[in-house]
Amino acid sequence: MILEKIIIIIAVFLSYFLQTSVEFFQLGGIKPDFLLLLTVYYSIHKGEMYGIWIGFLAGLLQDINLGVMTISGTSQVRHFLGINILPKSLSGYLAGKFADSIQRDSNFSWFILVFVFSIVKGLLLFLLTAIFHGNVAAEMLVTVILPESLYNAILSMLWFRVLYWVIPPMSAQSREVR
Amino acid sequence: MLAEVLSKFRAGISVSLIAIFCIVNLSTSSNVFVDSANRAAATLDFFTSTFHSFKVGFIRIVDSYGNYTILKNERDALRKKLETTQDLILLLKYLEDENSRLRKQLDFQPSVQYPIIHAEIISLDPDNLFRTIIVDKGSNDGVKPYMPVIAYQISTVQNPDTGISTEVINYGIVGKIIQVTKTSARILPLTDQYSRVGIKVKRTGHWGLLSGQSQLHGLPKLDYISLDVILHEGDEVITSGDNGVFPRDIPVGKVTKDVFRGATFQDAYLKPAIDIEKLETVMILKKEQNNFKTYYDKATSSEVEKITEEAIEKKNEEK
Repeated sequence: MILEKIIIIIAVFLSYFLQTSVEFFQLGGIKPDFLLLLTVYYSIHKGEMYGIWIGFLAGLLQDINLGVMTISGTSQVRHFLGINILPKSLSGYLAGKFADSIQRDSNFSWFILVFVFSIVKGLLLFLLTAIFHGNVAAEMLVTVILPESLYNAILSMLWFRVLYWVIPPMSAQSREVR
Repeated sequence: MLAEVLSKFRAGISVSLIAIFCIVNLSTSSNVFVDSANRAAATLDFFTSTFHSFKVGFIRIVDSYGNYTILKNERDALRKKLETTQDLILLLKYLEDENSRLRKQLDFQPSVQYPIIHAEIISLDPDNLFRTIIVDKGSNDGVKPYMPVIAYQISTVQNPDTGISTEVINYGIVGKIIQVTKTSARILPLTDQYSRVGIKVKRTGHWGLLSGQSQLHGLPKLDYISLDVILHEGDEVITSGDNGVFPRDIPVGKVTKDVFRGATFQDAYLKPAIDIEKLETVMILKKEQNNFKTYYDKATSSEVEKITEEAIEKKNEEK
């Protein structure tokens, strides 16, 4: 049990480093969201509680990375704590809920699930930014969120197999009973 | 009973608690969680830096293996061709070119009068919606918030008439420092939606504002450019120095073909001089933010009389 949690924490950190320090996966200025992929992967195989808390940890790392800035010429401080946590946790929760009604080992299911929850995550992130940090260009929905979701969905078909090989989930019988 | 209810709805309760946590944090400017997250940034940057070192080491190993294979093949080929001196001449030419290119890089110094801190990028863009760069130099190295960050990049330019490619070194603005820990610093790049830089069009001298909040991904938007100037594709844009952060006359980028003339101003998209997505190292200028506040001290009547007398005397002397 403890070993499993340690493995999850290591997996989250490795996904974070892949996302922030490895440019290999960047296509046309868009990176895949490895942290969301990990969250959805665990949600599918281990249930929504795993999705929620892995999403929380993943979002927390991203928010810490975004840091704090003082707006030039004023004493107003802009920080980001919470802006990635909520979209990722909620995506993990919803993915876990939906995973009950899909085939867990199908490429098509992964594609649809990851695409839908990447859009959900992107929309929530966009809304939170717009509400708490002022205006955001609406075109980002088309120029950033949509391509990122597509990229995540396509990559999930390969990445989930890699994750399955590296960190195999527990069997379906031992999946958390809710 | 309560335990049963909590157990049954634990996922919903967890999400609700997380939602409250996030909204409270985003609504307040500072609290214990935000402060703790700021302190954790230094630790996280340390781990990121360690991972970055591993990555660099791994790339070097892969590269050296690749180089080894290439060199082995080259050696075999050269053994066969050793009888002719042609290959040796070509090799010498290659080494000469490489040597001069490396010398050019080493000698390069951007034309700014501030001391420079060289820094390596350890983290880039945690999310596609936000742009943040983290570098491996912090307050221990003298980095402070609002210091401007520039970089240089080598690019290949092909002459359309002759078709000959030449390597040129570009330099330009990357962004500004927004947060500093002891061993790392965060940069807000030009392309981030919160970035604003005062600029001017080099050809005409007209001022404008460069905003990272743009409809086109990776291309910041030039705004508030006077309608008096006709913007052309490729017009160079430089810093105006008006916001007190960036020194003036540092290249920012070039105007793209998308220019929109509005009723009062015109706007356009800008291709940054530095391709931020391909950056590996940057230079932080040790320039403090200018303070433009002017204080008017109330002069006493005797001081006013003295100044007036001096002015009259000066005028008389001139006559």
